[in-house]
Amino acid sequence: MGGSYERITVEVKGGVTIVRFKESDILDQINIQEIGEEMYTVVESTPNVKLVVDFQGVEYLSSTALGKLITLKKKVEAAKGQLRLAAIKPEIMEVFRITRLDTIFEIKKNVAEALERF
Amino acid sequence: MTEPLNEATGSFCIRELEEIERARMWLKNALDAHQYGRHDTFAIRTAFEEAVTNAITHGNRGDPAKRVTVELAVNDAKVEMVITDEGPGFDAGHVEDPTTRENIMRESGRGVMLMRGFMDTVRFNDTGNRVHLVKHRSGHLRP
Repeated sequence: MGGSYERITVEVKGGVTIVRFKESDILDQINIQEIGEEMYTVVESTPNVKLVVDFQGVEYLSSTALGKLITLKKKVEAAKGQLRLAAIKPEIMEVFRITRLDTIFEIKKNVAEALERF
Repeated sequence: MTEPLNEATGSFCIRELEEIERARMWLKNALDAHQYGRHDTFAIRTAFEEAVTNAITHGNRGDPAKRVTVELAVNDAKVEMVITDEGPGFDAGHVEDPTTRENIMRESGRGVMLMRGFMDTVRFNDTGNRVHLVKHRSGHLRP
């Protein structure tokens, strides 16, 4: 997987692509737009992607960012891939619960768990 | 009745998303100075972002000629935020439920739900272009 990204880092481990965020506060609308575009590029450049989005270190997440995750999920599924989210801190999990997006995404406690049995 | 001590107030005029940062940092610093705990800080900052983004993006339709006024008050007992846009407003009493089967995969429409989920009071004016948010401190002053 080539390319360097402004807003995310990408690691490939055992055939699984792990995306991490460079910033802890995913609130700024411009940044969120760029984060979304970069994640979509990862999916589009990886056939049948097995994707883990690692939220370790993320302190805030706006509903606009949730929208980007939903678009990401749609793109992964359209590409016959799989998506898991990992290491979401309790306050942000509350965002997922309030919006019931915890019923839509596969969420794991940490990256190690997310990598299991992909 | 004891008067709440230590009130800090801030007022901001925002036209574009890039201008939110000043108000955001003011709020963060005021919450820290008043020793709000982690959960309250998360709730308040999240509701702030949702309200201001909604006002700019939906209320003012992203028009930089229109202003969003943000009034913030932080004291030891509670935080109050009033966000006003210059748009036509909306019917805040009939916001579509973003958790239904039809809506859950939509990419937007969760801002009001998050405000209501995290704040003690969310009150829109009749027009729907002003929202008043209140969060009472939920615990003791953090050590």
